[in-house]
Formats: sequence, C-alpha cells, structure tokens
Amino acid sequence: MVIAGTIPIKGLGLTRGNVEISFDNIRFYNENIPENTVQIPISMGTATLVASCYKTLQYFNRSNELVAILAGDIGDGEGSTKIYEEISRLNNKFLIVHYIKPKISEITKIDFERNFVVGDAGGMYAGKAAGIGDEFKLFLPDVGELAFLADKDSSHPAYVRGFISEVDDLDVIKLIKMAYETGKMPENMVIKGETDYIVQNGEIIATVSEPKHAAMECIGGTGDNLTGIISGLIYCGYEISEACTLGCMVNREIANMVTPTPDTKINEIIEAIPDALNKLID
Amino acid sequence: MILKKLKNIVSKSESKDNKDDNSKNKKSEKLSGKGLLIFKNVKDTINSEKILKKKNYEIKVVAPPAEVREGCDLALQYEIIENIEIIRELKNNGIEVVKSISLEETMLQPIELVKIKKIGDHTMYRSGNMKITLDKNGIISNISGGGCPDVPYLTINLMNKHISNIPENEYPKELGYSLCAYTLHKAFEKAKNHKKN
Repeated sequence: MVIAGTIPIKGLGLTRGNVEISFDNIRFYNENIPENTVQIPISMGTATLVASCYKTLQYFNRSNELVAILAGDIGDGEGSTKIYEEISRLNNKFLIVHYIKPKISEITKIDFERNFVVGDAGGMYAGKAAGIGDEFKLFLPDVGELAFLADKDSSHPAYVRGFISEVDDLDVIKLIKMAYETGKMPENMVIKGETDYIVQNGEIIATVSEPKHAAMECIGGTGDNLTGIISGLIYCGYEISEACTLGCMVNREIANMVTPTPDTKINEIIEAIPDALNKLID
Repeated sequence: MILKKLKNIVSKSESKDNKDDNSKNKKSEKLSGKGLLIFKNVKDTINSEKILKKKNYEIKVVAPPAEVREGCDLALQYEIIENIEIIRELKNNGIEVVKSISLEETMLQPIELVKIKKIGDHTMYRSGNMKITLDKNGIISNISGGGCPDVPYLTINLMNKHISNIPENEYPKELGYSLCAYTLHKAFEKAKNHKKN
C-alpha cells in the first residue's frame, strides 16, 4: 500500500519507505538530512492520513506493508513535482494520492490500469480538473468539494458557480447526480459530512448520520482520518462499499469514545481507531 | 458576456499562433484551469512575462478585450491554480496586478461568502472548502479543509496563536501559494474582523 503526499517542510527531499507512528508524530527515514530521521507532528494532511492508515493496518497486523512517498512542499510545488514523478512509475499498487499541488499534466501520467488509485485532497482536485475522475477507484470529498466535483467547468473548489457556493444550503443528493452526469466520476465515492453518503455508480447505497458530534467538523484532519480508515479496510480485504460504510461508522464510534471539542487534536482521534475497530468488527 | 468575448479573443490569438506554427493540435488548446492577469500598462505585462518565465510558470501574453482593459492592450494567460503565488511574485518585484479573471466559465468566481457557526464556546468561519475555528479568547484552535500542500504548512504556522496578534506578513495570503490559501484567507479575515468587533 502506498500513500503519496506532501509534508510541510520546505526543501525536504523525496522519501520512499516505511513509517513509524508515536502518539503525536510520524517518523520516517530521509537520507538527505543529517540525522536521517524526520519527525513531524500529526496535525492534518498527509501525516494524518499516514497515521490513520497505519493504525488501521496495524489492527490487521499489516502495518509493515505501508509505504509512504513523501516530499517537502509548502505550496510552491517543488515536492509535488518529485512525488508525481515517483508515482508515475508505480505498478500494481494500492495508491492513495493525497495533499499535492494539483497539476493536470502530471496526474495523467499515473498508470490507472495497473494501479488501484484512491483520490483525496489535492489528488482528487487534480483528477477532477484533468477530467479523469473515472480512472480512480474512489473519491472522498466533503460537501464543499462535492460542489466542485458537480461543477463540470470548475478546476478548483475555490472557483465554483454562484449557485453552489453556499455549502450549508447544498442539496447533496442533487449534487451527487450532477457530479455523475459529468461521466467523469469514480465508481465509488464517500461524501463526508453531517451525514456521510456512500455512493456507488451514482446511487446512494448507504448513509451514516448517527451519532452526531458537531465539533468533528472543525477539527483539522478528521476527513484525512476517515480516508485512512476506509483505505486501510479496503486494502485488508473488505469490499469497497462495505469498507466505506464501516469506515464511516468507525469514525463516529471514535467520536463517541473521545467526545471531541473544537480544541481536540487529530492525534487523539487517531489513537482511538483500534478500539473503535475492535468494537465494530466481530 | 465579457468572458465569452475573452474566450473568443484568446482562441483567435491562439489560432493565429497555430497557423504560424503550422500545428493543428494546438488549435484546440483547452482553457480549463486558465485565467487572465490584467495590468495597468504594457510595460508591467512585459516585465511580468520576463519575471514569471524565469520562474518557469506556464504563461503566455495574449490580447485582452476592450471591456476589461485598464489602459493596457496585453494580458497574461496563466494557470488559475497558481494565482496567489504569481500575484505575490509580481508584487515582490514591484508590479501590481489590476485584475485576475477566470477563463473557464462566465459564472465562475472565487468564493467570497464566509459562513459563521457557533459550536459551544468556539466559533467556526467557513469559506468554501476552508474552515478556521477560534476559541472564546480569539486563539486559533483548529484549521481544516483544503487539499493543496500549503494548507498543512499554514496550519502549523497559525495554530494556537491569537488571531489579532498574527503579523501581516504571516497572513494566509502572504505565506500561502494556492487557491486553498486564498480561500482560507477569506475566512481568516472574517474571523479577525469579527473578533475585533
């Protein structure tokens, strides 16, 4: 299993390898730094995805199968370019493309025939903007990002039509229909929000809406965490729609256990993954 | 209407280039993801082209329509995703961009609306896909949303700081590069003003 994404450290060169997780940081080897080991906090973004995926795989005793392709990028695209180059050479991998500068010309170089590709964050933005969303196996947008996917002419969530810019008033069911009418959406999609929608071929096959914890919306990384859990479940053998539904239930079970406030940090949520999995899996 | 004209003009301009290049493939170049930068004079446009080409941005000089001219008959076509970093790069070189326009669709505009939601003692400000949450004292307790690489970087830089004490050179639009940073800045500005008032 491969997670590809950027890390917010300027100038950090490309790293490819296993990672280690402690309570609030991920550690990985990088030959370009004096100590050879990079340690970064699990705050949001790729570090969160890596940590949640690791915890899920660890539950199934498969965490050593997780490989991270990481590079430093604070937005200038330097690390993203290196990551795109690396993932264009992958073959027969389960790949999640995560925080990365969206580049239409680069995302199209991935071999979608030979790899199982999940798109989230910048990876999803790039796939949609390039018009190749249907090459991915799964997208995981929130409601605002769904509006972007539903707008056939938009290439970034910051630019959408006036009528879908007010996220609170969005008709999710209508947007799902609009997104799939473009003909460029993956077979599977999870819309993360107050209610989670699990979609297959444009049809809503399940929803998960209870229990509700409003604070989860403002905690950075909760979406990344859900992507990590679902991807881990698929990798460990769950059928895609089953993994999506179970992952959403696990995420809400975690909220029950942690009882989050807007001050809660994402590493506290990730720590609860094994217990939540234990409770929901026979 | 104006943007439709823009598209036509840019397309015509490209067609002319294509004839020169004798390349049929270039005729159908897509405008998806493209925008136009408008400057106050030709000199600024030409200097901007030099600066941005040196930095390897994918840009080209095109003719803007009369409706959006600001005394200049040249504009730069660019990748919209690079909006914030290009504008800052030019600002650092003393060049002001008068206007930036999406060429994608007449109705496409950057999101301006910021929604405010109370969650217990905290307040969440959301602009499009970006959210920033303050505690009751004005400390930034969480940032979420987005997908571009500068979002985690901005989060690390802004978290646990009082929104009123953040210097201007550390605002999201100053530190960030992407449209996610631009959108986050809208929420940041709203939160800052809301707290101040």
